[in-house]
Order: sequence, then structure tokens, then C-alpha cells
Amino acid sequence: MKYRFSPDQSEVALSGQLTFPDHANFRTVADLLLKSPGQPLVIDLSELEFIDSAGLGMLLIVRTEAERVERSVRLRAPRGQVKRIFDLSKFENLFGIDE
Amino acid sequence: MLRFLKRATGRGGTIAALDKTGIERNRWAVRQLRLLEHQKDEVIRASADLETDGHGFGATCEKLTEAAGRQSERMSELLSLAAGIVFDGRSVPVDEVGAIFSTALDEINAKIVEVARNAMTMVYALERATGNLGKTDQCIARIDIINGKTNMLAINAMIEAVRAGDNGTAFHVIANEIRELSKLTKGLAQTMRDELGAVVSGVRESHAALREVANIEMSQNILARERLDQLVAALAQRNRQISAAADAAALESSAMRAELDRIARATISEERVQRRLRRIVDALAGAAADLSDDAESAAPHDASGANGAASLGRNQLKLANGS
Repeated sequence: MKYRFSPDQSEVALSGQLTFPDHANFRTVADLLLKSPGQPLVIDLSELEFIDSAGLGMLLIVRTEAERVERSVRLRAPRGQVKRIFDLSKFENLFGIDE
Repeated sequence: MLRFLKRATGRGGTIAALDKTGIERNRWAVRQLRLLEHQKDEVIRASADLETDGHGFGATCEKLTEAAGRQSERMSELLSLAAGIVFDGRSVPVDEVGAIFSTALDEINAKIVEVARNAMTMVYALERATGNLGKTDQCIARIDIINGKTNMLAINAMIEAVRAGDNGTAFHVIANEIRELSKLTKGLAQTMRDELGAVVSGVRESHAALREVANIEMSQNILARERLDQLVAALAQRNRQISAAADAAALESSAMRAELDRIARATISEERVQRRLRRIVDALAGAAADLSDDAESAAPHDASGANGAASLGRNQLKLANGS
């Protein structure tokens, strides 16, 4: 997985694959995102090609940690396998998703 | 025929001419008689065939009607079977089966996601715990260092107390106490290190096991619902096709049965046809008798050939009447 933050660090774009081996890297991303002043926190997934169940779990952890500090997370432009997994997992009930 | 004869004599023809005409008419009558006889025979044979074939055909129609009826019943059964499956003592339409599958798979997928979230939460937690345990180990190492220095300090203090002689007696006691405390601290630090080592080992094993769990690729299981949805949709589509085919077959079967019923009823009216044929035979016989009378009247009284023809006509008439 690769990531790229917006200048104010309230938005991050992920690319490649989000799977279990990326969990340490994603932890860094989540910590930086949660420290940013933005609201909502935005994760751009337009360049993310694949996600596994561990990746879904990581996104849910960010959501839980954001809620603890009364912030929200929006997922932007999931596509392909990522979108299908979100649809089948009913992620639209858990996140704000911008198509 | 009589009118013909009257017209012939009225025109002043000779007896010979009359005789000649009579003979011709007589021959014509004989030919007509033969023709009538032939037609009557044909009608009688047709009537016999109708009776024989009609009975067989009627029986066949009845069997076909019964078979068509049974086929209709089976088609009705097939239609009810195609409508759905019996589950929990009630008939469930195939479309509803798909909805039941979807609901069950949604629940499974929600659990997969929840398990994945919990697994990752624990992975992160254990990684933090492992890091904290490492820091604790470093603390114990620092305690060891401090304890070593303390012990060295106590030893030096004891040496200095010995050098001081009697003045150093009290100081020697204190240095000895410090050394004892240092030994206790060292033992405690070792105990802590042993305990911490066991905890670290347990945490690392748990972390490794949890990594295995979290690393299980479940996305294909989530996507399985997609394939199952497609499968159920295909099954429902096939079921609709089967239902439509069975429905059409049932309609055709009913139409076939109705048609066979109609044919069977038409066959039953064979007796009516027989009666009509008998009337035709009677009519033909009547026509033959009339012809015979005409021939006899028209035949010359002294013309042996014509008389022969008239006799032939009478004989034919007898045949026509079946006597």
C-alpha cells in the first residue's frame, strides 16, 4: 500500500492493495489522519485496487477511533473489487461513501 | 323412360325404330343397374368398415383422452412443484429462497467484517503490549545496572569500614545491610525478568496466532455472496422457464384432451352415419327398382335380346335388394 496526504493532512489517498501486511503502515496513516484538524477525515480510495478482510477491519478501527473524538470518516470513490466488497459488506451503513 | 318412349312414338317412328330405341335404353338401364349395384356394394362395405374401424378408433380415442387427462394432472403437479420448495412445513417460492439466502449471507458477511475488525484491534493491542513489555524489560535491565552499582558501592563501603577499624564498625553494618538489600533487589529483578519473559513469550505466541487469524483472506468469502446471488437468480430464471413450459404443456394437454373428447363424441355418432348409409342403400335399391321397371316397360315384347336385357335388369334388381 502507498499513501499520499493532502497538505493539511485531513485527506489521504491510498493506492495499491490494503491487506494484512500493510497494517503497520496503515497504523501510521491512521495516527497522522487522526491528528489532522480536518472534519470529516477523508480516505480517497480511487487508486486502491484491492482490499481484504483485514483491510476492512483497519478501516473500521479508524472509524471507531475517530468517533471517540467525535469525528467522522468518509470514503471516497471506491471502485472495482473494493466497491464490490463494500457493497457486500454493507459499508454504506457504516461510513459515508462518496461515489 | 316412358316419357321418352312416348316422345319416340309420337314423332311417328316405326316399331323397328322403337324397338331399337328400347333396346338401347334397356342396355343403358342395365348399365345403370350395374353401376347402382356397384355403388350399393361399396356403401355396404364402407358401412362395415366404418363399424369395425369406428369401434377401434373410438376405443383408442377413449384411451388417449384418459392419457391426456393423466398428463394434465401430472402437469398440474409439475407446476405446483416448480412454484417452490417445501421448507419448515411450508411452500417457499424460489424467489423467496433467494431472499433467505441473501439475508443469511448478509449476516455472515457482517460477522466476517466484525471478526476482521476485532482481530485487527487485537493485533494492534498485542503489538502495543509487546512494545510495552520491551520497555519493561529495559527498566529491569536498568534496575540490574543500578543494583550492580549499589552492590559495588556496598562492597567499597565495607572495605572502607574495615580500614577504619573500630570507628568503622557501624558503617560496616550499614554497608552489609546495603549489600543484602542489593542481593534481594537482584533476586527480585531476576524474578521479574523471568516472569516478564514468560509474559512476553505468551504475548508473542498470541500475537503470532492472531496474525494468522487476521491474515486469513476472507474477502473471497464475502464475494461468495455475489456469486450465490447470481446462482440463485439463474435458478429462479430457470424455474420461471420450467413453470412457463409446464404451463404451456398443461394448456396443450387440456386442448388435446378437449379435442380427443370431441373426436370421441364424433365417433359415437357413427350409428347416425350407419343409419344414413342404410338409407342411401335403400335409396339406391329404390332407384334400381325404378330403373328395372322402366327397362321392362321399354323393352320390345318380341325382341329376345331386349327381353334378355330386361331379365338382366330384374336379376340386377334382385341383387340390389340383396334377395
